[in-house]
Amino acid sequence: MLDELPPFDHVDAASLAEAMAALAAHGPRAQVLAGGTDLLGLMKDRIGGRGMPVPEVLVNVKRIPELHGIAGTADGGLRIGAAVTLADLERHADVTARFPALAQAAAAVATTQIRAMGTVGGNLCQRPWCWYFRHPQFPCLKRGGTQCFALPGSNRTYFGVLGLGVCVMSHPSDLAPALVALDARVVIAGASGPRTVPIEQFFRGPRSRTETVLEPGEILVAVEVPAPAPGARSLFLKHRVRGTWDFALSEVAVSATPRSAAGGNGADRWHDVRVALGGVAPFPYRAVAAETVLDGHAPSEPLLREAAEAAVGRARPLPQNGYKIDLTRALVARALTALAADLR
Amino acid sequence: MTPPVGPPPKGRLLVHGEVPPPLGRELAVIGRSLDRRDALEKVTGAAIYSSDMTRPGMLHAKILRSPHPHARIRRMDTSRAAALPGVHAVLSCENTEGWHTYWYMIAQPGFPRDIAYSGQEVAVVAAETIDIATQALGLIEVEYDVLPAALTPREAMKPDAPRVPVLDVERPREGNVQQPVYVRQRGDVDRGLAEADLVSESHFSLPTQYHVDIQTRCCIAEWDGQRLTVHEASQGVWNVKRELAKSLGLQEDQVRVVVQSMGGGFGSKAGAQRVVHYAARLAMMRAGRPVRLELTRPEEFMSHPRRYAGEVTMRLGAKRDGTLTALDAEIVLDIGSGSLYAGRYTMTLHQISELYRCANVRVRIVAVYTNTGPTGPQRGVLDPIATFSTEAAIDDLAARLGMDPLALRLKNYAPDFQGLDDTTPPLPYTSKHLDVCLATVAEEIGWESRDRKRTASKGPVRRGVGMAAYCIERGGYAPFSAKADVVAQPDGTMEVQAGVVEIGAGQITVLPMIAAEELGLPAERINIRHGDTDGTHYAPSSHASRITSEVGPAVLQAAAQVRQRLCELVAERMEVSPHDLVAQGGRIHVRGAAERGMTFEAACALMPGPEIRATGSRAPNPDDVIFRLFGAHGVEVEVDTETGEVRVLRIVCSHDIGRPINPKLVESQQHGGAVMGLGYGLYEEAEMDRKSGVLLTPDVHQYRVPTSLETPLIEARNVEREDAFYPYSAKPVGEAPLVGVMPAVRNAIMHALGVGIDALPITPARILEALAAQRAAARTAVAKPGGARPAAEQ
Amino acid sequence: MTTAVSTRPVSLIVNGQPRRVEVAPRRTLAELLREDLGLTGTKIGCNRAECGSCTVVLDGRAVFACSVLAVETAGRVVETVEGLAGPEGLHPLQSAFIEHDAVQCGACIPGILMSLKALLDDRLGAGGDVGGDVDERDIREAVGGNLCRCGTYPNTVKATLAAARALRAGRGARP
Repeated sequence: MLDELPPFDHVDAASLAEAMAALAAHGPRAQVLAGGTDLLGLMKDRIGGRGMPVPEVLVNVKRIPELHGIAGTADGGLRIGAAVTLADLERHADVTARFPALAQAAAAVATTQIRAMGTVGGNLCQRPWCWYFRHPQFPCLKRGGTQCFALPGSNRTYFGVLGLGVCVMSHPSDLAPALVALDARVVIAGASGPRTVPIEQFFRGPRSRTETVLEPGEILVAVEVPAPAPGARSLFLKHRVRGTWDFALSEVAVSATPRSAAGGNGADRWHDVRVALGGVAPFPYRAVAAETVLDGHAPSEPLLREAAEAAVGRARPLPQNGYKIDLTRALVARALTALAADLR
Repeated sequence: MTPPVGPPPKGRLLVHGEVPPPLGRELAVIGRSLDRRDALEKVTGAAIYSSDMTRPGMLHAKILRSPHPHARIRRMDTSRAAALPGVHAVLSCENTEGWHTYWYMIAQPGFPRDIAYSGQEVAVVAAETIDIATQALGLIEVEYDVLPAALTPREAMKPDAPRVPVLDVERPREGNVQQPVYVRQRGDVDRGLAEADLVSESHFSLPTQYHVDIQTRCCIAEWDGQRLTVHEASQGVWNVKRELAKSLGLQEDQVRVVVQSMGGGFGSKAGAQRVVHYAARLAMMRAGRPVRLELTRPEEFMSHPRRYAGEVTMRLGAKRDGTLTALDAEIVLDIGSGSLYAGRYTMTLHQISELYRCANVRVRIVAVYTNTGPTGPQRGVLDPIATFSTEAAIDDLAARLGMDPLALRLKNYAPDFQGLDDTTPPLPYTSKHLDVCLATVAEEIGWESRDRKRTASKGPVRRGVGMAAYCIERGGYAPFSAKADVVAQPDGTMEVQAGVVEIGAGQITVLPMIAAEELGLPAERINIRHGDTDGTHYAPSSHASRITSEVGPAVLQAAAQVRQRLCELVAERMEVSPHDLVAQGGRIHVRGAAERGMTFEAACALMPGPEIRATGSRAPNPDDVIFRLFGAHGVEVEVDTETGEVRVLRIVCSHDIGRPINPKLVESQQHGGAVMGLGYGLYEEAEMDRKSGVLLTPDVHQYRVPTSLETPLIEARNVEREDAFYPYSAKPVGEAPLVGVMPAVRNAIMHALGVGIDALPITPARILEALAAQRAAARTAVAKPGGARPAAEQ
Repeated sequence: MTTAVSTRPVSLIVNGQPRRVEVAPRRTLAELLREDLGLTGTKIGCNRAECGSCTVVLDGRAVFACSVLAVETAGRVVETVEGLAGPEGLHPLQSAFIEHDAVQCGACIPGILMSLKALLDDRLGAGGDVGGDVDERDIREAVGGNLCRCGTYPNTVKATLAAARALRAGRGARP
C-alpha cells in the first residue's frame, strides 16, 4: 500500500491572501488541505469525475493565523478558527461549559486519532459517505455524472429520510447539527472580501453538486457561535452502529432557553427552541415543526413526545432505511428529555 | 489443581513408530502461562512481516481487475503496457493459456477468459515502480462481452439463469448448482415429523463474512535461475511450496517459502494465494529481480475468498415434553465463484445431527455458484452456519413449547455419538463433557434469574440472557504427514524444527513447551526453527485448529526420543539402567536421587557425533473413536428498544478443552473467537450493489469490525479433563470459541424482546424493524407462535 | 497524468533523534517512517485512516500516520513503537502486553501501543508523575480507533491497567 496518493504539489499558505492566490492560480486543479482525513482518502481512491477533478495542488491552510484559535467575541460568543482540531474543540473549557452540544458533537466524531488531526472546517466541508459516491466505479451526480445510484439501489445506512431530492445521501458532519442548534455563522474568505453566512445557509440542498456554498477559491475561515441567552442549554446525541468510528445513523442537537412563566407561577417555558437533525438528510435538518410544538411552552412529557413526532413528520423513507424514522423520533424525544432535566 | 502426570497412556499418542516411555514425573512446563515467544519482537516493532521487507532490485507488481461480475474477455492486448519503459513483465490470458494456480491443491486457471466476479484478476504487471506499474495497467486494452450476472442463489437457480464460470477446475454441476446435492440422513425424518406433537420451523439468513486480516496479502518472490524463494503472509509454508512447485513446473526442492511473522489469516491465507503464484511467475520471468506484490485493502475485499453465506430452513419436530423426534435442515449455500473448500459439508453435520439425541435427522445442502467472488474457509468454516441455525431453532422450539431453552437442551442431551447417518456406526467420543459446560455457563451467566432480570428491566432498555452449545469436528486431518525434528547439540543447544507458521495463536510457543517438558528443561532453553521450508519437514498450514493436535505429537515423540538417547548415554556413563533415569530440572539423574546425575549440557557433551536428531511423525486418527469439540456460550445483553442498540454486557464461555498447554494462549483464542463472532452477529455487513455486482463496502469503515468499545470482558470457565488422544490432552481451540457466540447473542436478544431475529447481523436497523413488525402484528391481533419474523427486505 | 513535482527536505524528530529526509509531497508520514527511515514497526493496514495500525504519536497526540503528509511534519516530534523502550528497558506497556498476552498476530500492536502511550503520557505523565489515572473506559476509548481482528481487546485493557499501576508506582521502564 505504497504510493497510493497521486503526485501533487503542496503549497504552504502563510496568509489568507496567499491561499486564495494559490487557489485562483490553479483553479479547479487545487483544493484546500486542512486535516486531510477525508481529502487524502478520496485522492487515494481517485474519487473524481466531470467537474470534480482529483486535485493536483493542495493548499495547506493550517498555518494561516485567522484559521486558528478559540476566542471570545465581543458579544460573549465564540469564534472558532476553521483549522482548530476537533480534539482541541472537544477539550476547550468554555466550549464544554457554555456550548455543550458542540463539545459533545466534536467528541463524537470518528476516533481519537482522527480528532487529533481533523478540523472544524474539514468536518463541515467533508464529502458524503454514500458508498456509490465513494466508489471509483460509480460516477454519480455529485461527481458530474447523470444519475443517483442509491435509488433504486442500496440505501441502508448513510442515506436520508428527510429533505431528499435527486440526491438521497445523509450529510455526515456531526458538528453541523450542533452548530445549527447553536445558531452559528460561518465566516468565509472570498475574492470579493469576507462574508458571514448563517450556518443553515452554508449547506446546499440535494440538487446541488456540492454540499456547501463555498465558491471555487473561497476558504472557510471560522465559525462563530453567539453567546447563549442566560440559562440556555444545549445537548447533542449521536446514534451509530459501533461505539466509535462510524457516522451517525441519526443524531440530534437541541437547545432551548427557559424563561419563567408570567407571574412566576408554573413551570418554565421554553423559548428559542432549536432542534437540528444529522445523518438523516442531505444537509443538517432543522426540525422546525418540532420547535413550533415546543416554543413558548413548558416541556411536559407529552409535549416532548409530540415534538419528537413532529420532527419526523415529513420523513419519507427510502426502501431500506425506514428504521431511521423510529430511531430519529426516539432520539429527539431523548434529547429533549435530557435537555429538560439539564434545564431544571 | 494437581498437575497431571505424563503424556497419554501407551498406544494413545497418535504417532508412527515407537511411543516413548511416560515421563514418570509431574509436569513442569505444560499448563503454565508462559510468555509468547515472539511477543517481545512484536511489542518493539522488530517483528518483520512480508510487507516490511525490501530486497535489492525489487520490482513492484499491480493487478488489473475486471469491473464486470460476469463477462468473457473478447480481446486482450497488453503490448502497449509491456512496451512502457520500466515494465519488466506482464501476465494475462494472452500468455498463460493452460497455466493453473493451486489452492488446497485445487487447480484454478491463472487468468481465465471467463470472468466470474467483479474484481477478478485479468492481468498483472511488474515494473520498476508502483507508479509505472499502475500506469501500465492503464495501457492494457481489454474488451469484454458483458453478460448478465446471477448475484444471489435465488437468481442463480432460475431455469434461465446465466451460467456462472467457476474458478475451480470444473466440478460436476447442474446449472449453477454443485453436484451432487449433499444429503445425509439418519432414520426417517418424515416419519419423525409426523410423530411430533409440534413442528417448529425457523428460517435463517446468514451473510458472508470477510476475514479483514490487519496485514493484507504481500508477497516477495525471487528467482535466481535455479531456485524460487518466496516471502509472504501465508498461514503455511509447505503447502505453498508444493502448490507453487506444481503450478510452475518446478521440483519441490527448487522452491523455498518463508513466513516468519504474518498479520492474521483466519483461513484466508491457509492455501497458496493466487497473488503468490502471480508474483512467483513474474519473478521467474526476470531472474535476479525480486517481485513484490501487495494487495491494497479494497483489493483484499474484492478478491480473496470469504465465508459462505447461507439460507437455512430448520424444522424441528418434538413431543410436548420436548423430546426431539426429527431434525430437518435445508441449507442453500452461496459459494460464490468457487468454494475452494468444497466437500467439507460434513462440517455442518456434526452440529445438526450429533449435538442432540434424535433418531431422525436430515441435512441437505444445495451449494450454488453466484457471480460474487470466491468463498473459502473462515474461522469456523461451515460450523457457524450450522451452530447458529441449530441453536436458534432450539430456542424457537423452546419458546413454542413454553419450555426453558436450557431444559430443552438437557432433555435431548446426547451423551454418546449416534452416528452421522445410517451407515456410520456408533462409536465412542474421545471425550465429551458438554453437560458440564452447559451447567458451568448456566451458573456463571445466572440462568436461574434470567427471567427475573428481564422483567426487572423497566423502560425502553430490556435485558436478556441467552445461551448456545456447539459440537464441531477438529483434531487433525488427512494426510497426517506432519513431521517434526528435535535436535540436540553437544554444547546443549536444543532446537525444534517444524515447518509451521506462527499465525498469532502461539504455535511457536506451544511446540517448544512440549519439547521442553519431555526434556526436563525450561521452555526458553528450546529454540524453534519455524516458518521455513528449508530445514524442516512438511507440516500442515496453520488452519483448522490443527497444529497442536497434529504437530504436537510429532514434537513430543521426537523430544522423547532425544531424551531417551541422552538417558542411554548417561546410563552408560553412570552404569545404571536408562529406565532408572529421569530428565528433570535441567538435569538427567536417577529417579528419586537428584544428586546422582549430571546437567543436561554434560549429558549432551557425551554424544558421539555432531548432533542427536529425532524425527517425530504424526499418525492418522484412528477410525474407532470420534474426535469432536464441545462447548457452550452464555451471553447477557441489553437492547434499547427505541434505538435498536444492542449492548453485550457479558460473554461467558465454557469449552471442553482437555487441558491447556498454555492457559493464557488458550484464553486469547477464546477472546478472538468471541470478538469475531460478535462481529458476524452484530456489526459486519457487506453490501453488494444488486445491479452491477460490485462490492460497495470494500473498506474497513463501512464493513464494521468490532472495536474495543464493542467488546466486553470475556469470562472463560473451561472444563478441563483428560483426553488421551491429544498431546497432554490439549484439544484444539482456535475456532471453537467463535461458533457459539452468535446464536447465544441472538437467543439473548430474543429473550429480551420476545422476538427472534433471524437475519445477521442484528443491527439496530433489524432490531427496529423487528419491533415495528411485532407492534404491527399485535395491532392486527394475528399472533404467530414464537414471535413474528422481521419485515422483509429487498 | 503525472505532475513533475520535486522532493523537498524535511527535518523532524523521530524517537528523540533529529532526522532529515527528502520527500515528495505525496509521501505520507507512514511511508516516510517505513521507506525512508527503515522504521517498519509502524504498519499500514488500510492506508485510509480506517484501521489504526499506522498510529504514531505526533507532538504528543495519537494520529494516523497514513493520513499525515510527510512534508507537513517539519520541525515536529514523532514517536513510534521503536522508541518505546528506553535505556532502562521496556516501557511498562510493552512488559504488560507480554505478560498479559495482549499480542497475537501483532499487526495492530504498534498502533495500539502508541495510542496507549499517548493516553498514559497525557494522564499519568511520561514517568507516571502527573497525578492522574486511567480506567477501563479511558483505555477502550483510546484504542477505539485501533482495530484488532485477533480480539486482543480484553487483554489490552488488563495490560494497560497494569502498566498504569506500574507507572504510578514509579517503576518507569524496566527490562
